[in-house]
Amino acid sequence: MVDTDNGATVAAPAPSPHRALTDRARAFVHTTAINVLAVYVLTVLLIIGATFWLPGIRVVSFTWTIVVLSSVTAVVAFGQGAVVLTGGFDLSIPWVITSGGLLLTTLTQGTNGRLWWALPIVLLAGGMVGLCNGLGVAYLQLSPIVVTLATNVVLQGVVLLFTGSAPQGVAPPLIVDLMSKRLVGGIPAVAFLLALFVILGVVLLQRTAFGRQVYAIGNNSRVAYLTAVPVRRVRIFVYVLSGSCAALGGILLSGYAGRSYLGMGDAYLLPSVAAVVIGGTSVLGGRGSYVGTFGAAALLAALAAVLDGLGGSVAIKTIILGLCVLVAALFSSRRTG
Amino acid sequence: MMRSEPTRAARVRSRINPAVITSSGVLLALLVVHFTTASGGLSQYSIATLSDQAAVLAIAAVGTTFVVAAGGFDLSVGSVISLVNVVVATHLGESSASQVGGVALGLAVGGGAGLINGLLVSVARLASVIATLAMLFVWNGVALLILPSPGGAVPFTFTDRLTSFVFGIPMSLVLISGSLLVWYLLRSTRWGTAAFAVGDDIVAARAAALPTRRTMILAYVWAGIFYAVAGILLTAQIGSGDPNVGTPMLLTVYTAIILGSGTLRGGRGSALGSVVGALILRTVFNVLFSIGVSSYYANIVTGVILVAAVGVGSIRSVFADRRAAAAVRPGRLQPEKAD
Repeated sequence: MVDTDNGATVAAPAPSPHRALTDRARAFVHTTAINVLAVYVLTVLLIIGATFWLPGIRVVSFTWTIVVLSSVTAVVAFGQGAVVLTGGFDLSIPWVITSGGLLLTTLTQGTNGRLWWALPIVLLAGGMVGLCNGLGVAYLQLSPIVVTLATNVVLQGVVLLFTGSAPQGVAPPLIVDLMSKRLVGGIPAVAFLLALFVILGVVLLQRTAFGRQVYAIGNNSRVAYLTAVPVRRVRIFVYVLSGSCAALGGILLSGYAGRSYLGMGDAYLLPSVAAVVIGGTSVLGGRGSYVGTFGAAALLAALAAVLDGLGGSVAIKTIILGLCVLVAALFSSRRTG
Repeated sequence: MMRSEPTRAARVRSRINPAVITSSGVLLALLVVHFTTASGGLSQYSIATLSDQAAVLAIAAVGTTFVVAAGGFDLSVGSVISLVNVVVATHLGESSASQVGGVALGLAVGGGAGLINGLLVSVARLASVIATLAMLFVWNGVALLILPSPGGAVPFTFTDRLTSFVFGIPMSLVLISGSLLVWYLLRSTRWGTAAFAVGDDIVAARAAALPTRRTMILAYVWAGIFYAVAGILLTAQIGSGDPNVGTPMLLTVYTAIILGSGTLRGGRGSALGSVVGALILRTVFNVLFSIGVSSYYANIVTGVILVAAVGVGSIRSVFADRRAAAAVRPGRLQPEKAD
């Protein structure tokens, strides 16, 4: 019932059922859910398509190949996604990855014996870099882009200082095996690690208080602050998380390549942002989920593998990746005013 | 009671960014150090060298200042410069006509890239960070397609023309001054005022019926044109094309802007500040190199300078905010301003 100006009450006009349906449909298209669904459907389509377009590809084994190929991006994109959820960006990922890989190979000297203490140190080191980023963003209120850009470059200089420009270190056999061996049923060893990682990641973001605080900050940091969310602490922690994930990515990458080398992380900045955006996370923060990000990482790996098989160059792949990010951003559920 | 008209001096004073004055002072001090320690002291040649070294960065930084003033981020600056570089390097011939054509092509490429950025941000309403980041990679790929590895053919006459002297002034200095002149001309147009308004508060700008879309698009287009000028000058200076030449410029451009104007906030920004920042960076590098610090550390130094500059500015503003908050005591109304 609606009050009109002269005090009489009249019934509000009933919305036509047609209108409600199309409105709901339009709203649904812009939700994260359909974004995530689309990502997984596209990945499946690509894998099936690959069996037709490329010689000697079989669905199941190709799927496992994709899982292995996407592992570094998937891990790194989790941290990047957490940062983006709070409305920031982590541009320091390339050299945290490289530093992580180099630190691992230097500490272990290519053996397994030192892994048990080298691994935590590498992850901790990544977290420390993230801590610097987080402090700059949270306490000095610097723009995340500026801080992480600077960190990336400073790290690069520091690494160059310590290593000269010679190619570095061999990866420990255990890590190499992790990335190359297949276990029961032909499932790659790293797939189990990834499954655990995805479960932990989704639980952290969706089911813990911390995760809810992350989303709250991204949605409206002022309101979050006023509702007693420890904004600064949470902000710092997402950057620490991102740094550790990048270091983990460096560990995995050094196992995949068998060794670590300068600049090994450079190729992973775009894919990490791409996976986050394509997976449905809004760059304005507050919206998105790791399920989508993981699917997008798989999608990108599948895309890269198919393009490789069809003979595409690095240039073509970079262009297509950039365009995919644009397209995904255009379909994103939130845009600037 | 009528408020008295602001004096002319007050009006001029309010238009000068205090941060630029500080950084100009820093630059002056650095220049003194630079020219006293450099071999050859203060001469036409040494001035020209410094100007040549800083010009590409300075002009690119002026371009980015357009976008920053309008409230956006342009992460594609480095790759647009690389793209212009490879396009121009592969389209120059010995004849003047072909060189003019090459320059025109470069300007068109830069302006076109800027137009695309502008459309993505204002018409497609993408966040400027994502749009320009994606375009960064697209242009990188395109540059690699055009010229997979460093090469191209830049005739000596072209290089000569852009690195020589005009009435005793180095060409690079002429281009820097030209960029500043264009900035100040544009600043005083209706579009210029609108751009700053949009950067300061886009909602208010829209409410004031400013053509925000057109304003933003133009900001990116002008930025692209300036990147093209920087890229053309760079091509003349290095005499070849390199698809990755612009990659380190993203960091240095933003460092220059922050060094000069102290902030990346929309609605603020001074081309003079950006040029001063670029000169400061270059001078610091030169002084360091002349005392034997290797170029490996150039990266660390840039990063540290950036963090220091931003950190100082930000600490200052955080403390200013605290002071301002403390000055408002609860329960006490601010005295009404007599008017």
